[in-house]
Amino acid sequence: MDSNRIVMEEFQVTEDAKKKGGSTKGKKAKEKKGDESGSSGTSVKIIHMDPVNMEIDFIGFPISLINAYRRIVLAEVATMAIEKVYMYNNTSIIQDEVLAHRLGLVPLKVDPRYFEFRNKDETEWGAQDSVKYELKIKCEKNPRASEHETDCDVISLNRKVLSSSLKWVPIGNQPDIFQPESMQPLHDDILLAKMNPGHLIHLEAYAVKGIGSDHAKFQPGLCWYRFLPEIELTREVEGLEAELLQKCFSPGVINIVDKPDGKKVAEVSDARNDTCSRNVFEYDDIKDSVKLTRKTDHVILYVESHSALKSFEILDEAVNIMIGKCDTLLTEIENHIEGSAA
Amino acid sequence: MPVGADGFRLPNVNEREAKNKLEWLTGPGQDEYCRTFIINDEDHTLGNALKHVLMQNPDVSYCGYTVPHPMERKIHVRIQSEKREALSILCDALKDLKSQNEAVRKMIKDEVQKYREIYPEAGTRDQS
Repeated sequence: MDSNRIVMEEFQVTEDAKKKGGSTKGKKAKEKKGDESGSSGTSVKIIHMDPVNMEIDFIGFPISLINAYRRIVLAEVATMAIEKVYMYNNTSIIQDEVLAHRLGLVPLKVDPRYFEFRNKDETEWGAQDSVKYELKIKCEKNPRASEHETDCDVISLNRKVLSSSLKWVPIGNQPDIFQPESMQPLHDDILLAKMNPGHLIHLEAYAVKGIGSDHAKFQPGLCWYRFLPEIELTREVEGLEAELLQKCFSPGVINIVDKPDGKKVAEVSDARNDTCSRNVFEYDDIKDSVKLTRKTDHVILYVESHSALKSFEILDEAVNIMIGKCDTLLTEIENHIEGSAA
Repeated sequence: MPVGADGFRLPNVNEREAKNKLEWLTGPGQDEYCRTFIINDEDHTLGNALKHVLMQNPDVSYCGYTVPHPMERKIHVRIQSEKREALSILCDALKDLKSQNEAVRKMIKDEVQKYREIYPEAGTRDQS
């Protein structure tokens, strides 16, 4: 398979001269198709994975597909977030609407895959589409604090309202399906409001399922990608120049090795970690020694979760949504063909 | 980002009107072989990926997509061919895209499985 590269020069980015020549569309397109339909040529490799972060390599895939996944993660993978707040009493200094907005941004542990999207005209809060929370908290003087105490956090009890004081209130048959631990906010130390003695907050909040293009609070996490960088040394770089070259790149990219004849020579150890800053072009005496390229058919995709879904579940959901899109259109076309045949 | 009828939020899956997902333009420049399809409720996410797949088809002499207006949630996909009907080309492209995605899904699943065998603790969230 021919590898596609772009070359990062001092003032421009160009296609690699090695592979240039002739038409780019017609003939190439056919070759490429052969590659894609077979399982050769394309591969996926997980570099790092944990529930929060994931780094995964897509080799040989069209960039439009990777970008589609990225867009779906940001805009279309559903999560649960607080959408409606009924404020019964709020005598704290934080305004109702500000507090409601802050509540909306709190990530919840609730797994969205157990829930349905809520109907727009719905007036009831159903067990299948909503999660109820209650927050009832009062700030009082701490009777045990000494008279000379000056620290507000000690003088008053419940001075800080944290996300842990949001209490899940089951609706309908929810207690049979869910455990209280799996319905709480994802982090229990998110500061929602600060109060003084005598202040009171009492509210009810309802969480629903939603998608990121509606509101960013529904985003399951972050997703971004970059092409694999490659660095090629075109001549030997030694001594002080080698040290300078090492400083031009991210840590760990360039190594300096001792040669048997006593020379200290620069060597590329791991170009993957490079940020592609092109700092090397600042120095006229070493800028001719490197060729910076990026492989356009090797994409490093990062997924970072800040919701109930784990990083790899987010990616899996994104692919499923893409398949769903194709499916809806395919059934629509089938229906049309059947309709016109009848 | 696209907005819903109330000016704020997008209609979710339950709220979609009984509007056809796929329509096409009529008039001059539109026939069986050369057609502009309208895909409702889609954007660059599907448009660009679909265009890429359509370009791979040697029967397609021209194809492209556009978002006619950023506030209307729809895309126009133009397909021109000299050999086959545009609708069947679109159908093939969608099937192709779907099978590509299914392949990716399987690859990711296998890789996650493999990774978990090496690092069994990777799937658990160490949070209190």
